[in-house]
Amino acid sequence: MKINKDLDKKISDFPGELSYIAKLLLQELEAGRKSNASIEEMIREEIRELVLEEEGK
Amino acid sequence: MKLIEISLNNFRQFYGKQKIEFAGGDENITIVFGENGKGKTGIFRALMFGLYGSTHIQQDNPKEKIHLVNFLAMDRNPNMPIDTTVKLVFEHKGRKYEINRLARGYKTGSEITEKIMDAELNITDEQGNYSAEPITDENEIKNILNGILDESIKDFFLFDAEKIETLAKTDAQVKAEVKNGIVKLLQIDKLEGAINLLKRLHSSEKRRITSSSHNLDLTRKQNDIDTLTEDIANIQEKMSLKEENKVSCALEIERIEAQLAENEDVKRIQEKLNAEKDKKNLHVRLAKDKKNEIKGELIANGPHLIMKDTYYSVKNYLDQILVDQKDLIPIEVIEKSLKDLVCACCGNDLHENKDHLNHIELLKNNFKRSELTPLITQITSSIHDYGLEEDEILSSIDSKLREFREIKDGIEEIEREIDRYSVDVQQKAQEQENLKNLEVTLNDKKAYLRELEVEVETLKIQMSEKEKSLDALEKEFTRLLRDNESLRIDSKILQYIETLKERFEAVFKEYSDEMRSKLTAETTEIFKTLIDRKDKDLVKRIDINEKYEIDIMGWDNINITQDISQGQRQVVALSFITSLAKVAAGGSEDINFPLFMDTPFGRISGNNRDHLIDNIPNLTSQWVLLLTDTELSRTEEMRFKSTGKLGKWYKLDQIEPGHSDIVEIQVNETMSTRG
Repeated sequence: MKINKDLDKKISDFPGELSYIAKLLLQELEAGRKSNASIEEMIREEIRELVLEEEGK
Repeated sequence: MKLIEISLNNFRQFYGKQKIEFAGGDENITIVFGENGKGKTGIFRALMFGLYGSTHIQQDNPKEKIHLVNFLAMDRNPNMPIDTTVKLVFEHKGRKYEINRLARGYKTGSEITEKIMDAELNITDEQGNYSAEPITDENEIKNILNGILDESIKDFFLFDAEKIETLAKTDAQVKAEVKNGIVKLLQIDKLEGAINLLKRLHSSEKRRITSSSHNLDLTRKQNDIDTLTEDIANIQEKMSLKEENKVSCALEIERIEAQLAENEDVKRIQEKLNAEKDKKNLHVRLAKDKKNEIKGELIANGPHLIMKDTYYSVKNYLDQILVDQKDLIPIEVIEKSLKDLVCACCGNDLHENKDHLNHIELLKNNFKRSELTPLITQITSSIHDYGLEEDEILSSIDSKLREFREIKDGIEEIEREIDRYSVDVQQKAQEQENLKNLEVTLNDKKAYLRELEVEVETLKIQMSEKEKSLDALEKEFTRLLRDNESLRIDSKILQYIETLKERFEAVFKEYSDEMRSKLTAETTEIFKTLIDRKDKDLVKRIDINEKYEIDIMGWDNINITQDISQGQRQVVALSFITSLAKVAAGGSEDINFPLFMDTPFGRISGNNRDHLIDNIPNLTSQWVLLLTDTELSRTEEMRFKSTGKLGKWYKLDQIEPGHSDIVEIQVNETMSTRG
């Protein structure tokens, strides 16, 4: 199931990479295939990469 | 999602192979017409079995076994396995899905054993490439199909009459269903899930950083934070318990008040009974008075009435005596005639009629007064007077007797009412005895509820103070983290998680409010389209309130949810379902799912049916209707045909018990069996 159009638009307004991470989080929750723990780990890794990328600039 | 066809083999009433092709495109209405018991709901079951492997639908008792395999096929092949298959073909976003499900049944003696067997899903992609291998893993099939139309919200698109009946009610279960439908369809539950996940991630990340930093200040702060967080969790738990108690206490109060209201009924019946008894006493007094009046009248006039015939024969006899007597002409008349010389009887001048004069003088000479004459005159005069009054007396007695009869009839009627109320009161007398106990319990419960409210408020204040302290500690922790150069990256990660959570929280509130207001606007607009013109002004708007309950507001902004008729409520339910589907589909003009309705017109009036028939085909991409003969009279049939949207038309024919056939009818033929 796709993210609802109105909701997608609001998430798209999140600053920078946070929008991508937020959509990823919602899609994983929507798909319901992964456990919450593995989604948490995935989000943590995404944010960590984002921070390291910023630090590297 | 667009339904293409469903094929059945030995499924429920449908013996052998049967098929329905669904209408789509401009002519998007498919009607399956069948009288009760011919298998309409069997078609609905086949769809549910095909899509989700469900053996039960909403109207079934989940504990009762539902057989899918055709009984006739099993009877004709005892002790042999009989397969029932459902093949459902549909399209979704350019892909074509074909799902085959199999169930197997055996009949040995009167014992039937059934087993759900394999399922197989074939997908053809947008380019027409057929999947190399069918998908047979039940979980994978379930995931794919739930991705298209989640099973938990399917009831908003594929529903039986029961669903409309349910949604049209206003009880707690319905409110929960409506809320569940909204939060799932609009993915509000996913937002909530994201917020909770980020909260957990934030706190676990903080703990990880603290333990790996070996920084005593940070560790101390984190310990303080953990202690406070635990305190808050405990307070929250207490509050939840108190809130639960509040809810159950409020429900208990509601239940007792309802019981008391019933007892109020007893009181009201008792009052009516007493009023009827008073009325009876009054009528009895009136009857007694009337009886006395009649008695007086009969005493005064009764003898005359009884003697009436005798009177008249006596009068005739006495009249004859007077004629025969010599003193027929009184002496006074004779003397006056002689004195005036004019006959007092005929007016002749006695100067000119000497014969007359001589005759009168002879009468005077021969006159002998009879002693009886005055008496006879008096008797005949009385009888004459009575004759004049007779009709009046009879009419008076007659009308009094009628009035008496009416009063007596009234008393009988009142006695019947008294009997009826007495039975009612007796039946509820036991409850009345409990009335006092109930009132005591009610007061106790109300006091307990007030107590709970005070406790909850106290806990809220405690929690608010703890949260302020926690907030200060968190800020302190963040400052320590930021000041520690070696933890800069970890600090930024934590900051991002916090920012993401705050963003989601802001969206959650904003999006929920927007969706509710969209649903309010859509439901109201669709309701105005679907409802009969005369009822249009009844409703100003249909609100979806903060608790996701449906509130129907009248023109003066008064909540009239409880005041509208069941039929009107069903149109509200249909409007809500349709608008929810539309908003969930992203507000596109067409709903991207078929609306599949089993006997939806049950309580909806003729005019409202017309409006539904005219307008639903424009709101949805496909409308599949299973209709019974009371829902498809000639009027509805003509209406369907006049829309130009009728694409497919089927009739269910019962060949023999346990054997119905699906027969396609040309859309220009007549289907309805009733006027």
